[in-house]
Amino acid sequence: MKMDTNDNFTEPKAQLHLYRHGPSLAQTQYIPLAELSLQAVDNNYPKLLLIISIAVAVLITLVVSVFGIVNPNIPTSATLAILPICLLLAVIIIKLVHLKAQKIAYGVFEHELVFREGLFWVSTTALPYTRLQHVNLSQGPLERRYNLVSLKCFSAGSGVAEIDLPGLNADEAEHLRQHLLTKAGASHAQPSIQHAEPLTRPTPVHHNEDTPNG
Amino acid sequence: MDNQPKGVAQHANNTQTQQHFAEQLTSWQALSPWSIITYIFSTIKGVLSNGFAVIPFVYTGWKQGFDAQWFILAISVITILVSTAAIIEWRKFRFRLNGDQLEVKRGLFFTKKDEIPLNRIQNIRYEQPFYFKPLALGTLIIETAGSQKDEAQLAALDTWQALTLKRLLLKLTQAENSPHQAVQASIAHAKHTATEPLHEQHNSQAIARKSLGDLLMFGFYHNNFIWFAVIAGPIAGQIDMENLFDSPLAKQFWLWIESQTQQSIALQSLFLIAGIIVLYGLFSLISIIAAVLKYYPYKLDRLNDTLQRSGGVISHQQDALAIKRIQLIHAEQPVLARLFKRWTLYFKQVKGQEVEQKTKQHMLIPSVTPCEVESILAAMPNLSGGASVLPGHYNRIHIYWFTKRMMLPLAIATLLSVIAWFDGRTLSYYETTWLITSAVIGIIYLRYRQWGYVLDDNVLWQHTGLLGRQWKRIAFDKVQHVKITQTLGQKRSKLAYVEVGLASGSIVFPYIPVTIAEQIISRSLHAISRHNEPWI
Repeated sequence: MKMDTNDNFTEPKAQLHLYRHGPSLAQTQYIPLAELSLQAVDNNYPKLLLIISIAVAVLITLVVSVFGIVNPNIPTSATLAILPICLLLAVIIIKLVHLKAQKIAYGVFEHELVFREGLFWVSTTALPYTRLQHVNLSQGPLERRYNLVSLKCFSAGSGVAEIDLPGLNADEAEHLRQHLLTKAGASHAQPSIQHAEPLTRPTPVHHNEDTPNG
Repeated sequence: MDNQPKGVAQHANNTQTQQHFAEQLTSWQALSPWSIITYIFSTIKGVLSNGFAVIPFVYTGWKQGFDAQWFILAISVITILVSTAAIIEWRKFRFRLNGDQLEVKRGLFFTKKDEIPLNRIQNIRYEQPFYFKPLALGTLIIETAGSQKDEAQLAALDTWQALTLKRLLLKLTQAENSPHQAVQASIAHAKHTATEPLHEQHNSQAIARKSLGDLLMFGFYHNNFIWFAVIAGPIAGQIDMENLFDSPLAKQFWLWIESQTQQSIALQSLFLIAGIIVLYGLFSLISIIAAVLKYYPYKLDRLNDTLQRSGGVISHQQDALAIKRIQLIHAEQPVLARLFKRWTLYFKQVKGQEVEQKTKQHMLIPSVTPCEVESILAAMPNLSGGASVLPGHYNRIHIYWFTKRMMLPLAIATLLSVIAWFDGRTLSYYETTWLITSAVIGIIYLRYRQWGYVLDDNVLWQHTGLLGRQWKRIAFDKVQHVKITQTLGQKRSKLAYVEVGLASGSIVFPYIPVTIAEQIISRSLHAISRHNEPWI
């Protein structure tokens, strides 16, 4: 988004009167799926994960140190030596969790929903609306506090969500869900030649929105 | 009205009875009393298959002394209970065809009523257990999408009743000898013009026939030998081997072999190989018998838009599968099948909605020769992706796949060796460590050699295998989602993982060039994102 405005800004004045399209792109120059620019999830989501992971780390450190102090068989020096290692490890893990949360991104396109995640293994998933069977929104107690929800998109067959997108702003997510359902509904409702052919109609595999099919 | 027994009996005039039957179906129908037998058998089967726990008790009881009186009493009590339950089941079972849905009512204390909308019916199976064969009766099993419990069984229908019902349920056009007008009159939904059925009668086309020899071969190459070995290993360990080898019979056998081979190594190894083959033959006998009993005589036909398989010696089975429901075609060739150059062809459906739901079995064609594949696929005009032969060769995935996977066993072995060096172990320790490591690496290499892909305009093939091999044929218009995964290193060397999600499960292509990955993605998205035809 920012990039666009910058581009407009630096455009030469002459182009206001005569717009130059530039060379048309060959098909091989189209942006591949893995490099599409996508939209990050809500800022609160990395923050939430940060808080949770810090809390867990503090808890573990506390347990370890209490255990080390109470147990007479372990010398205090050993406990004191272990603690910094623990702390270092905790800092690294917390940093990774935070980075991973920041990396989650999604894009709502004309015909498909695109989702990207991963720190070392960066994976990008595309799910066309025509293949969308049902959408599920869920919110845990901590997520509620930050007004976040996670969105799951299911296709047919496996019971696993093809897209599991956490950390959406609750108001936006509801809107997005409506949009996805409308898109999916529009594509499924298309009349086809079902009447002539028995056994070929789309099966209503999902019957209500709460049960993943499969 | 509630108790109209449906044993309308076989009149000479099929036409009239069929018309009669179709009319009757709109009101509640009972099954024929013969269905009691089905219930009895299914109860016995349930008891037997869940009753392994009883075997030890029975066995110990037997050893302690057999009391004939109690035994007879127990048997008779069980018989009475089972048959009463079966009679009640039959008395309370009602079904009818009500407009657009099939309704089934059953149960004495807990009445259960199922309403199955006709358009939710996935497969209809006509089974003829051995006890119904002389009576020419059979069971119609109606499977729907969703859980396994969503199925209805109509037992002891005679052949033409089953046919009529099947046609009405599938809203198929009429088969031969049937008075289409009559059925039309009674069931508003089976509307067809008078000329249509005549045309469609000839639409039944044979796709594959398999002889007894083919099925014997199928049973021979397609079995769970490895599982048998896993189970048989511990059992063989229990037997006292020394006793066995010292027995006079074994001694005689050895003597005979020695006299025959005259201590020639070549002849002895020949004997060993022959022995292994005989042993394997014995193992595979079970699967050969099972294959013949289940599939002989194997027939696969196309009726309009559905595939119909029929066969079975003890119980005659008939499976139907709409061609449009086929998600993936999977050709498998176990090691032994490579010798015969035969393949097993599977038609995979949406996960959890297999033709035989209980056993999660897909529809299959046994012992297919490579050149047969194209004609089989060509006989299914609605198959997505069109007809194609099994590809002759494949593009291998990148060698990095192998080198990355080779690292772990190498690292472990090196680590073990270094530790052993400080421990001062003997030479044999290093030998075993490195032998195992090289075996593991060898297996990984075999897997790598077999892993490849073939990219066509409409379909994508995946080739995998270790000793046996498999082809998976993905039609782009059955794809549900695509996923590309890359690490930084892969990005630098322009490689990627691609996962292609289908309703029958996901298929992964690791370490393929990015350009190929992008082609796979764009072809799939092109085929699906703008086309709304139902795909499952």
